[in-house]
Amino acid sequence: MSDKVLRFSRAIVSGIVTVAGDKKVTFLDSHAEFGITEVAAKRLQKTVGLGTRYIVSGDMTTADLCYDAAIKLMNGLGVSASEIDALIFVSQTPDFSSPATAISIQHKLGMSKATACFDIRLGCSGFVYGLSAAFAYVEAGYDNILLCVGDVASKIVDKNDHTIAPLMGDAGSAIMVTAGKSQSNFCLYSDGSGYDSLIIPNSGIRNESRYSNAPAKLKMNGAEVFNFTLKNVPQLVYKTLSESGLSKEEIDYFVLHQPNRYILENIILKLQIDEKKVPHQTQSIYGNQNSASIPGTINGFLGDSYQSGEITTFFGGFGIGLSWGGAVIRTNKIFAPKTFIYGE
Amino acid sequence: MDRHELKAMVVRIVLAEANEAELHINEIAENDNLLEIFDSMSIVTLIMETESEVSRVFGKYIPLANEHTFDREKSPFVSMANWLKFIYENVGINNE
Repeated sequence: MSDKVLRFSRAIVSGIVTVAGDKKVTFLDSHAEFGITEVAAKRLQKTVGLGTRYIVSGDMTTADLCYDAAIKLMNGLGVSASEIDALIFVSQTPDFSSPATAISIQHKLGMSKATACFDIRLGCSGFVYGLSAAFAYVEAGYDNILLCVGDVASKIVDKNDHTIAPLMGDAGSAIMVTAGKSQSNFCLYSDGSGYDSLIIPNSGIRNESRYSNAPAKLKMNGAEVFNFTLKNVPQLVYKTLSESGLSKEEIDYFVLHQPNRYILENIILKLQIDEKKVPHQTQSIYGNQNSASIPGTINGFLGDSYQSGEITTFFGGFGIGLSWGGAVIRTNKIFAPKTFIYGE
Repeated sequence: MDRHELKAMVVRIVLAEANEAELHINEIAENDNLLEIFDSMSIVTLIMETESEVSRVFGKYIPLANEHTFDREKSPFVSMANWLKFIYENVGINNE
């Protein structure tokens, strides 16, 4: 792995808001839709941790969820649209392939034309990558960056594919990154040799013959993703902590992407981390929120802690690309309300 | 627990998973490739169940999943004999 590390000292996170899809789905009530028996459904529930999940209804998009989250965040922090210098949107499910969704959110929020806006097309590693970009812009002189991350993955899966459809939850998060003194370190990695481990074929310009009849729906090679995760995530944690000069005991929370219960429990046991420091209920309650899973986990289960004191956190995102990244950041009494359900 | 008792436990877990997955298998041979018999979800369940039983019997957690779990050449699941050998080695029981 590369030894290069992104180090920041003048950027902080001041608030995080997550809005989940408006439609609650209970896995054991819906297993028949996937053509699986009740027995098989109970096995999946036990292994993967499938419980409930929240998805969007109708024509709602990631941008709608992020817009709602951004309004709540700006109101909560007392930051107006005119005070924001850049808007970064991270998603695999933009409104259009082009133009960038960040720009339409900027317009809807009433931000100045002097706002820098762009999209980052990443999935489960996207929050960490987006946060690093936001930190870099603040470090270089901007004051407030609105980072929007999220996905409506329920719309990009084959609804009958029981290996992937029942996992997906929809959510959008808004994160405010502002100027402030704090040490943060990021380690970012990519491996394009695994580009087809998680892929939406026929969704761009390239058409590969092996996918000639495949619908533009997310395909997952679960075995390859499993191997990738167990090989790289523990190393990612060790490397980022080492570069931060911190031991695992000095980290208050390890907030990881939330693919499934077994993967997270395995990582917890491998790293010998106190289970209480690694929230891993998100998948079972909200579903796999993809790029929003890390902020979604903070809002879903750790909001009180983040709102009441100083917290040192390891963030770990990993998935489609293949792409993965870790970060250690410190926060102090940030705005982090409980996850909102859209429309409630 | 000796090697024979451990083998019986592992075989029992494999057959129970085959039953849960409705595969209609009553026995498992040493050269059976578990990756060809079970889907990835069942393999993960097998690992979980075996880790759980090993933990209960030996009093400590021994991780049995790694980056080679689904590797077609390096996976311990390429045969039942390999899976047993892998478990013997990890729990520290002689594979004689």
